Amino acid sequence: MMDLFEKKIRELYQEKRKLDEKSFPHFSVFLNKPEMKKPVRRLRMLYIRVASVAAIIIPVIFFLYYLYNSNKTGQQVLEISPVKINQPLPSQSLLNSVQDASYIWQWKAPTDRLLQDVDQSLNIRKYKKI
Amino acid sequence: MHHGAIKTEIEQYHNDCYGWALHCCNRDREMASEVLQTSYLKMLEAQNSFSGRSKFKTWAFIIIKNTAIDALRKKKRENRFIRNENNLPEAGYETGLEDKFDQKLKDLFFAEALNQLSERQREILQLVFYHDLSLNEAAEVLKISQGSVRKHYDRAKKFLAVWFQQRGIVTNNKYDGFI
Repeated sequence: MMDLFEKKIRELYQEKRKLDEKSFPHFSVFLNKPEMKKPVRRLRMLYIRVASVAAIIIPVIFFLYYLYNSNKTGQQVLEISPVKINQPLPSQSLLNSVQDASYIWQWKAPTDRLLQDVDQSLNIRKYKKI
Repeated sequence: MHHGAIKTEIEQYHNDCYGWALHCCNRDREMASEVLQTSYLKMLEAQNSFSGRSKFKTWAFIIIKNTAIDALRKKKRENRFIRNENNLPEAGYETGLEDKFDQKLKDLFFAEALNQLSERQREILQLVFYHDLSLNEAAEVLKISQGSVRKHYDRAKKFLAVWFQQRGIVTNNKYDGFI
C-alpha cells in the first residue's frame, strides 16, 4: 500500500510520463528500419578481429615450435641401458632357474676394462663423423 | 514464445520501453531511439531466452538497460575524443531533464529534487512510480538484491520528504499538505 507521499510522487511521475508519451515515436517507426542490420555488422567486425588475431598468433606459434625443434637436432641421442658389472645377465638368470636345462651359459656382463674400450671406440667414431 | 507473440508484447509495452530507454540514456532522445532499436532486435533474436518466469516487461527492461550501458560507454569514448579535439563541454543530465519538464513541475522543484538523488535512487523511483513495477521487479531489472532496493527506495523517499519540507512544499511529517 502506498502512503500519501508515495501517491503524490507517483502522480508527479505519471504527469511526467503523460508529457513524455506525447512525443514518443510510434512503434512502427522502430520496425523495418535499415539500421536493424547494424548489430550484424558489428558481429562481422568481431569475426574479423578474431580472424586477424588468429592470423598473428598461429605463425608465431609455428615459428617458436620451429626454433625449439631446430635446437634439438644438434643434440646426439644416445641411450645406454645400465649394465651391472660382473653380474649374470637376465638371460643367464633365466637359464639357471630352469632345472632341466642341459646347457649352462656361463657368460657374464662385460668388465670395466671392456666398457672403457667400448667408450673409447665410440668417441673415435664420433670425432670422425664431425 | 514465437516471433509474432513477442512482437505483440513489444508493441504493447512500447511506451514503457521507450520511457525506460529515455531514462537510461539520460533523456537523450536520439540515443534512446537507437538503444531501443537495438534492444528490440535483441529481443526478437533472443526470444527463446525468455522463459516466462519473470514478466515480459522486466525481461525487456533488463535488455534495454544493458544496451544503454553499452551505448553510453561508446558515447563516452567518442566524447572524450571530441573534447580532446575541440574542447567541447560535456552534455549534462540536468539540461535534458529541464527541457522535458513543464513549467508547473519546474516550479515544484521536482526535477531539481530528483537531481539531488543518486543515480541508483533515481532508477528505482523511475521503475516504481513511472513504470509501476514492484520493488522486487525493480531489483530484478537492476540486478541488485531486494534488500538493497528497499534501502535505496526508503532513503530516496526520506530525502524527498525532507527536501520538500525544507522548501515549505510539505506542511507536516505525514505529508498531508503535500503540494
